[in-house]
Amino acid sequence: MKKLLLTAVSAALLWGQNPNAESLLNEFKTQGGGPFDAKRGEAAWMQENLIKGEKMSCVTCHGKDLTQGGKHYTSGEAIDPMAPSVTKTRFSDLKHTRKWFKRNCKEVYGRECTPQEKGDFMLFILSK
Amino acid sequence: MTRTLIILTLLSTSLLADWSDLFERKNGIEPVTNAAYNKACGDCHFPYQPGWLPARSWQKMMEPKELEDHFGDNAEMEEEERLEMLKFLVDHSAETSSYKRSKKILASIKEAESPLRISQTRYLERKHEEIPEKLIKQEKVKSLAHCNRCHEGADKGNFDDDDVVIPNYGRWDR
Repeated sequence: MKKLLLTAVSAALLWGQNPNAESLLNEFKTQGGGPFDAKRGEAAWMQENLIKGEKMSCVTCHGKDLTQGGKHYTSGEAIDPMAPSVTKTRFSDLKHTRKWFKRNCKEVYGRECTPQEKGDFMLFILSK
Repeated sequence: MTRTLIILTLLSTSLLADWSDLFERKNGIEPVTNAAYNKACGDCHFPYQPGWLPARSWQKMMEPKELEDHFGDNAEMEEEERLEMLKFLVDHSAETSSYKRSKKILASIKEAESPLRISQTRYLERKHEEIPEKLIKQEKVKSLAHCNRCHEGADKGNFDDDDVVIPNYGRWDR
C-alpha cells in the first residue's frame, strides 16, 4: 500500500505539469503497453542500430544529457533539450509528439516503436 | 479646411507608405505568414518560401513516399497536415508570384523539370558562384540549403546582396 502510494505520488510529481503526457501514456496503455519503465527507456535511448549503413541512436541527434540541447547529425540544426524541466512545451502538443515518435523510430530503429517502447521512452524523458 | 488638409495629408502618406512597402517587397520573394507552415517545416530547416519552386516541384516533394525520404530524413506527416501544407505551397508557388526572385528562378527551370533542391536550380547556382566553396562547406553554414545562416533577412523574403553576412568572413561586399 505504501509502495503504491509512493508510486502514485512520484507519478503525480512527474506528470503534474504534464497532463498531456499522462493522457498519451494512457493511450499507449490502451494499445497494449505498460507498465512502463524509465530505465528500459534510457537503455533504448542509448541503443545503437545500423540503419542505411550508419550507427544510429536517439543520442545521435538528441545527445546523452536530455537537459542539454541536441544537434541534427546532418543539417546541424539545433534541437531543444528533450527534458520537460528545461523545455516547458514538451508534450504540450500531442500531435507533434506522435508525429515525431513515428519519424524518429523509423530513422533510428528502422520501424515504428511499439506502445511499450514509446511509454518507456516517455517515462525516461519525463524523469529529466 | 485645416482638418481636410490634415486628413488628406495623412491619407496620402499612408498610401505612399503602402506603395513603397509593396515595391520593396516585390523585389525579394513573398514572405511566409502561415504559422502552421513555419512550424511544420521550420521544425527542421529554414522554412523556404513557396515562391522558390513551381507547383509541380512542391507536388512531387509532398508525395507521401517522397516525404518518407525527404533529403535523407523521414518527414512523413498525417494526411490532414500533408494536404494542408501542399495546398499552401501550391497556392503560393513561383508561378503565382509577382515577386522578382520567383520570376527569375522560374525562368531558370526547364518546363520538363521538377527540381526538389532549390539550391541546385541554375538561378541559385549562378547567384552563389562567386562564394568560395570553403565558406559554404564550413561547419557554420554546411550548404546552400541553410539560407538564413548568411542571409539575415531570409525569413522576411529579403535575399539582397547587402544583407549577406557569412560566418567567419563577414559582410559580403563586392
